[in-house]
Amino acid sequence: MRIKTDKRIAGPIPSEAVVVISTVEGEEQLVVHSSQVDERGVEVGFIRERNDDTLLVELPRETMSGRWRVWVPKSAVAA
Amino acid sequence: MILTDREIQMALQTGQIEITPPPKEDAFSSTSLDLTLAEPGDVWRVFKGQPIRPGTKGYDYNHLASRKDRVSLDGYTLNPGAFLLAWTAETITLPISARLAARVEGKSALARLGMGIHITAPTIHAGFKGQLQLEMFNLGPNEILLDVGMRVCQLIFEITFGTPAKGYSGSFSSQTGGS
Repeated sequence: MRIKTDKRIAGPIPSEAVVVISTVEGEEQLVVHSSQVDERGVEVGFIRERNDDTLLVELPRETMSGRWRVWVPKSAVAA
Repeated sequence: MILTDREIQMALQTGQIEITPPPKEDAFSSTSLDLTLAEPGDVWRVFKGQPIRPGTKGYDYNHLASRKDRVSLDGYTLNPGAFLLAWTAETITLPISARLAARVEGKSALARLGMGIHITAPTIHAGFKGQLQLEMFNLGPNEILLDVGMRVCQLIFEITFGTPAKGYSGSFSSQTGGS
């Protein structure tokens, strides 16, 4: 599963990228391996779905704020 | 359970562990694998009176990036009390399906000099892919010169008990396929 990224910028080293994603609580930034993000979005692991059309996903790395799992709107899932 | 050298090698052959570039034969010990230091590193600049606040909403990567200087680590002097960010030359991939995780630990030979390579969070989780970022510091009394390509840390591989939740091909109402 991939979720859409709001932004992608160069990471600290050539093999990495910084991506910005939108969660139900606001934006989160994380550094990922460049192979884990493409034009569709960033790879995530699906954990579960909530009744309010939000999904709990696990990110490939910890965010800048220290989170591994975030709630995202279902609309964030890349086609 | 910790993987022995033969199990690590078998896992590399079968793709349960992926390491690029592949480790040399002498990088193995009976239960670990040495990794090497890559170029470059990052050193924090000091901004007195401008604390970093990682718990605040909207905490921004660019804010971090502008506070660091990029340095060459070949022949770099790690002074007593110094701290820098570095990376392993090797890219590690632990596929979720392999049910393996790893821990990155320092090297005894370097630890005796006062040098450490991680402050906390040594776990490389199942599903990880990338070069390992190292938090290097010198608690010893002497300057330590670094060399790119030097053995700087070791990986200990462990079997996970079960597959993590993200590794199941569980579906939600709109999911139509894998990533």
